[in-house]
Amino acid sequence: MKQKAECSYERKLNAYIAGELSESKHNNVQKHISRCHLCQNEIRNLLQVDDFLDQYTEEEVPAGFNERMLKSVSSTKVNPLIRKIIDFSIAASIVLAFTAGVVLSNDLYTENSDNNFTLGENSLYSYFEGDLDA
Amino acid sequence: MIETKFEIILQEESKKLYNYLLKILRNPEDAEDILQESFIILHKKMAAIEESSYKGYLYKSAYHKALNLIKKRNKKNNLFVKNKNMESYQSEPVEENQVNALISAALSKLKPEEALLIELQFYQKLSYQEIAKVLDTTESAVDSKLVRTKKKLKKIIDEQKKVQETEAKVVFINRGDKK
Repeated sequence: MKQKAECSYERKLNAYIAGELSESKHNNVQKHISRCHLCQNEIRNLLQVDDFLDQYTEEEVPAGFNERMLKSVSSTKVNPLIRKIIDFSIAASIVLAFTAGVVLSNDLYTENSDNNFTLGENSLYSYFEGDLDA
Repeated sequence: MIETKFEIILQEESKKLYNYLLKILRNPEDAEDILQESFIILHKKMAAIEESSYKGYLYKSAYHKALNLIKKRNKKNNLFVKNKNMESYQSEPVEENQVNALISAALSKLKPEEALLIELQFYQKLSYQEIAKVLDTTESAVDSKLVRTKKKLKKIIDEQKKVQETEAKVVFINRGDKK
């Protein structure tokens, strides 16, 4: 069976083309290539692959992609300052609603203070009282 | 701060990453979907990872998402979807894309991790050291894998050429028959 000839330098050739070898190794490989037909052939093969890949023409990202991307990430993440303002507003609304409720019910009780513990005429109970009796 | 960094990496990498995905997926809609998902994942994780790892993280998540999609496609083996994908890809300007389509076809015959190596070394111009960092491996492993991958790619390119030559001969013979 015919065995394919190989050279121990062959596996260094891609790193040589890619400029990944140190200066001394690079020079060493360069010298070797000048007198090794196997490596010269292998270099040609590698360069053919690179030439083939090099023909690729980059395409543009779909129009408006970057802008859409920025918008979508900014809408998913609320600015911490805005988040604090929102949280504060919610808390303030709850306190305000609670205070308003207390003040209002005090007024209703005061208006009807003559009738012991009778809810005021404007209270929700009084409002529905007629319906319930009916 | 993170928003600014995100904007910078988006401007720098979106086109390159989109083209990587186009090469391996050969479908613009799929490439755009995975591009978007990869950037969203990066945005979520940015606070937890080092700035020098942003690019690697981006490519890794795009690679894994693309790999999942390729596996799903292979499972389905749905010819209808394949044809539909090729139609949408070919709807771009013809001459430029014929070359691009040939390159994509060649790269898609490689294993996805081999195609990623080619992408990082040849198109992204990363050094062996940088590739090793992205792929969590050693420089010597990167080197030997690249040598194997380029040999494989050379065979694929030669086969493509043979097919093209045969097709050209068939067209030539058919024209002769019509005369």
